[in-house]
Amino acid sequence: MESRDLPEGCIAQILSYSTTPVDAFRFSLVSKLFRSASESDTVWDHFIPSDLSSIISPSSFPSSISKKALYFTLSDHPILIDQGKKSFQLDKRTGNKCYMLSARDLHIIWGDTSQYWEWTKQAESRFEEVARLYAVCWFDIGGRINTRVLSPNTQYAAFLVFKMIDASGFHHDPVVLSVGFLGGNSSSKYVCLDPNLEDDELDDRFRGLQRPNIRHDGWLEIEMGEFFNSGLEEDEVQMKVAETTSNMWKHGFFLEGIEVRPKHV
Amino acid sequence: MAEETESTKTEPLKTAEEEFKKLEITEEEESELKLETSDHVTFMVEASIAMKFGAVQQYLEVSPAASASATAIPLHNVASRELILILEYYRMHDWVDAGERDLKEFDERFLKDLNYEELKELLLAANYLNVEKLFNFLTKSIANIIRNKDVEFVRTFFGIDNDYTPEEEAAYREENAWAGVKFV
Repeated sequence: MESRDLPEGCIAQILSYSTTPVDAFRFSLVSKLFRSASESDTVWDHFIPSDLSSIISPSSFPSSISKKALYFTLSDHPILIDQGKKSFQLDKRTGNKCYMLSARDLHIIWGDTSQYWEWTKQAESRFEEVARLYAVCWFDIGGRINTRVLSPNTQYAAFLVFKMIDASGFHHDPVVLSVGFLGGNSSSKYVCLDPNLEDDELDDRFRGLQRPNIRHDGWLEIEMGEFFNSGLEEDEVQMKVAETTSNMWKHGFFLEGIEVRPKHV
Repeated sequence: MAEETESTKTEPLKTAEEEFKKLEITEEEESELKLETSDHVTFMVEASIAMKFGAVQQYLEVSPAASASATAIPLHNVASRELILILEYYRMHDWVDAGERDLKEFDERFLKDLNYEELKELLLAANYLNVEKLFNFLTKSIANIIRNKDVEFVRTFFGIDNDYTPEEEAAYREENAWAGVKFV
């Protein structure tokens, strides 16, 4: 039997069941007809969270914008929410939700005492203010996020986002990072937070410890730990950063926030 | 749905609905509509099922008389083979007092009995007839078949040639570097 071609609308409907935008893109390589079908609103509507309007105001975007354009806007540009204390974004490859909790949304011990921590503006920050560590021995930062706001059935990781400018005091004891469900188990690890430290400045306890990476936005980040959000029950995820053992004065740390985003294998 | 023509004129639709209601009221025995497929086979189909076909509704909007008369409603793009399958699907899903598990088993068997070519022909028929439930079932089933398959498989499945020039494809991939797709 001579095969008849499927109309574009049929193909768009088939592609709308793609699991991720990456799959949709992969199928758009089949032919130009597939490419055209892969750009339709039918397909991209599936990748935009259905509760988007409860996260950001629908008026933030022109209603005429295509679903694909909306998706890319949301994945390329973090949007401030919660009176500017958090930012929201879509993970481009999966469409899963990402958040960054700003320093103002975190609990910083001594954070309100100006002789220890100072609130300041940073040109490279997405937030109004970042926290600059002036001097402290008790270095202790914590944050929480409820899994309700995250995408279900997704492996997430939390990242500490920061800078070190003329930093000192981080060479004596490693910093402890931990992530876990409130009231449940948490995993913790020791890391070397200051990227400028040379191996010969450090003792054996620092050997092989994880170091921060440079992000596209110019900040440093280090993975704090991961967790799986099943979406079946609501949990509070607790994330902590601490170095409270050395009694060394620490300086020169700038805190942008903690980012929670899907972990890609 | 795809390929839908102007179907939002409310006035004629009402007429069709009224006709349908009339049919329901007068049914001592089940009322039927006569449908004629593209290969000129006529079917007497329960009105309760035929009226689920968007194409039939549309036809009756234009010529309401067809519902009562002996005139067959022509289905230009559906062959008898496909119509038999579509009726089988709808009779199971809409008539029988079937449980969820029965329907699931039925759907699986229904799908297993179709080869790829038949599956596509059936989707074309469902698209033309504008039958939402079957259309969604078929598109989803095809999506499951091509999931995790490579692009070459999809081309073969749909009988489509790659019409990108190597330059076009390279440029398009470049634009979409975010997707990190390195393989075909």
